[in-house]
Amino acid sequence: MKINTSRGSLTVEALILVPALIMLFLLIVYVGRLTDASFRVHRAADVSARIASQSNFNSMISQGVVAARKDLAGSASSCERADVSITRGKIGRIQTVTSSITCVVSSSGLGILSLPNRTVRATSTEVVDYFSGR
Amino acid sequence: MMNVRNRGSLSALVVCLVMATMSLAGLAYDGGRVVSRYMEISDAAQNAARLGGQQIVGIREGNPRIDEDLATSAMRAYLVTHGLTGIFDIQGTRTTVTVSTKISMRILGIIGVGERTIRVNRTVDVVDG
Repeated sequence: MKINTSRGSLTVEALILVPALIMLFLLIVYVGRLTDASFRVHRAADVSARIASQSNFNSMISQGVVAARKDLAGSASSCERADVSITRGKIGRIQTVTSSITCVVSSSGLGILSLPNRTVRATSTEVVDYFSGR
Repeated sequence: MMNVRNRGSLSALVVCLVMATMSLAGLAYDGGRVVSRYMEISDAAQNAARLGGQQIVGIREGNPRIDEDLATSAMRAYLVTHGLTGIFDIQGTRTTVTVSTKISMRILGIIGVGERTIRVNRTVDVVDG
C-alpha cells in the first residue's frame, strides 16, 4: 500500500503564502504611492520656486504658494495634506527663493497593513535673476 | 513505502515566488528612489548652473562673460548646501554643471544589486534679450 505523505501540503502552503503575497503586493502599492507623491512634491517645489523667482519682489511669496497649490491640485495627488512654505534668501549678492513642500501620503485602502501616514518633503532653491531689467 | 518524488518541489515554488515578489518590490521601491533622487539632483544642477550664469562681468566693456572664480565658488556653495559636489565648466557666457551621486539599493541589495551612480549634466547659456 502506498501512502502519499505530500497530500494537502499545497493547500497548507497556499494558505500561508497567499496572505503573505497579498500583503507584499499591498506594500508595493503603498511604495508606489510614496514614490508618486515624492515626484509630484519635487516637481511642485521646483515649479513654484521658479515662478516665485520670476515674480516681482513683493508678490514673490504669494505667487510661489499659488503656483505650488495649483501644481499639486492639477496632478490628482496622492497627498492627503500638503504644506507649502516659500522663503527668501541670499547667496553672495544673488537673491534666492526657496520653496519647501511637505505632503502627507494617505494609506487609505491598505488597512490590513496598518501603515502609518508617511510624510514626503521636497525643497528647491531658485536664484532670482540679477540682470532682469526690472 | 513513502512517496518521496515530490518532496521539496513545493519549497522551490515558494522560493521562486518569494524571489519574484521581492524583486518586484525592489524595483518599485529602489527604482522610485533612483528616479526621485535624479529629479532632485537635476533640479540642484540646473539651479546651480543658473546661479553661475548670474556672475556676468564686462557688460560695460561690451564683452560680457562669466567670471570663472565667482561662478565656480557660488555654484560650489550652492551644491554644498544640498550635500552635493559637482564639476563645473565655464566658457564665455555658458556654464555647465555636472553632478553625480551614488545611491545604494535597499531592497535590490538583497538580491545582489549594489550601488548605482546617477549623473546629471545641466547647461545655462546667458543671452541678452
